[in-house]
Amino acid sequence: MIGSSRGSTATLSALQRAMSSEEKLDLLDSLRSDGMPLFDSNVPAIKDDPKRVAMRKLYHAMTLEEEFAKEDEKNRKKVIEALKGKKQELKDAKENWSIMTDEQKVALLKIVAEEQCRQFGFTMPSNGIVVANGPGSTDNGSYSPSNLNTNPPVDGPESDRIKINSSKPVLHDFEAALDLILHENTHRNQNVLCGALRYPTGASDPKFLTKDNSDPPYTQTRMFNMGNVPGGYVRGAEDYETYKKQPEEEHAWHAGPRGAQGIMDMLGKE
Amino acid sequence: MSDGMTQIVEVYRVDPEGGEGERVAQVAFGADWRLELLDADPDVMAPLAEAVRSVNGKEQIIELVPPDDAPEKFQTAARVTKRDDPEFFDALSRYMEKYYGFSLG
Repeated sequence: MIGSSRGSTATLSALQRAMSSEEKLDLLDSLRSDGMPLFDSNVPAIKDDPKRVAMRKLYHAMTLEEEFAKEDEKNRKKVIEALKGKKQELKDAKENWSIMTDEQKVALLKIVAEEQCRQFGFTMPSNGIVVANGPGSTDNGSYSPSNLNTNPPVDGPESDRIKINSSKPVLHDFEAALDLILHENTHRNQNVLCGALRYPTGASDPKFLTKDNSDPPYTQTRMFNMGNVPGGYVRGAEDYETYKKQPEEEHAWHAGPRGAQGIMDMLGKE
Repeated sequence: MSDGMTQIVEVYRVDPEGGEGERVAQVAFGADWRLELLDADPDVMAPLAEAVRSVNGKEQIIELVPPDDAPEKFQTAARVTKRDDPEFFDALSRYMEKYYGFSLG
């Protein structure tokens, strides 16, 4: 059984390093072929189910596809370049962030998100970016994904939107707020790609994803899609390190700070 | 330095490719961990001065962090570190590196 003993774990690690991303994804598909147990924090033993253990190990063995990462970086630079046209607005916002209203802050974040969408080639969340302060919530901001189980997606008002919690600290720090919006909108980008992977509408559709049409990137999108299948997304309560390493989160936790730093660098130049 | 003592620290430009950073400046920490820019390479002077001005204006460091647990996908959490917190220097260092590309010390 995969991961069931120290020896087999070591062998699996060596195998994982030697495997291509496609092979790892195929292995994950095999693991899930008759279902993946759903993690339940009230039943901790599920965490140790061999299938979940193996899935987490495979997530740790995955990294962003090189070509995808390069394209991502290129698009990020285009976002920064385009935002030079809003430099004074961004500088003013940075200077006055502490006295701006929540609505003004979110309006500024929307400008950044729209530019991210334009340069990366995806659309804004259909239900927008909203201030939503759930009572007792610890969430500082999140993307509620579009429903990928129907084609076309049938989204209620609470899905396919970015929520910003203005009762939490992150919105009120300029740099961290930019990190947040770029991070959550990156999840929107992943969601759009996964939709195209699941529901190709034809070879003439630019978002028709196949092995032979890797633009947008098929393999990387398969990785993102792992978090959209039942039991595929790993929560922090199950394993904090895997939570950060799973493809959707690794990508977003990289994209947010890189983008925010690019904006700070642009604003800091004379 | 919350006791009013001054400490001088080297500043390095972070290499996004993960290589060794290049020393580009020197700063001093004064009271409450406020930074003073002592010298800097001309090409980083403006962005570093802006970074210093920005972090000196903050009473606390707010970091976007992964949640320990969250009931829904894609949620985020915050870590807040005040200037009198013993962890403040570490938080400030992470913040400077993450958002400004400069590492301290």
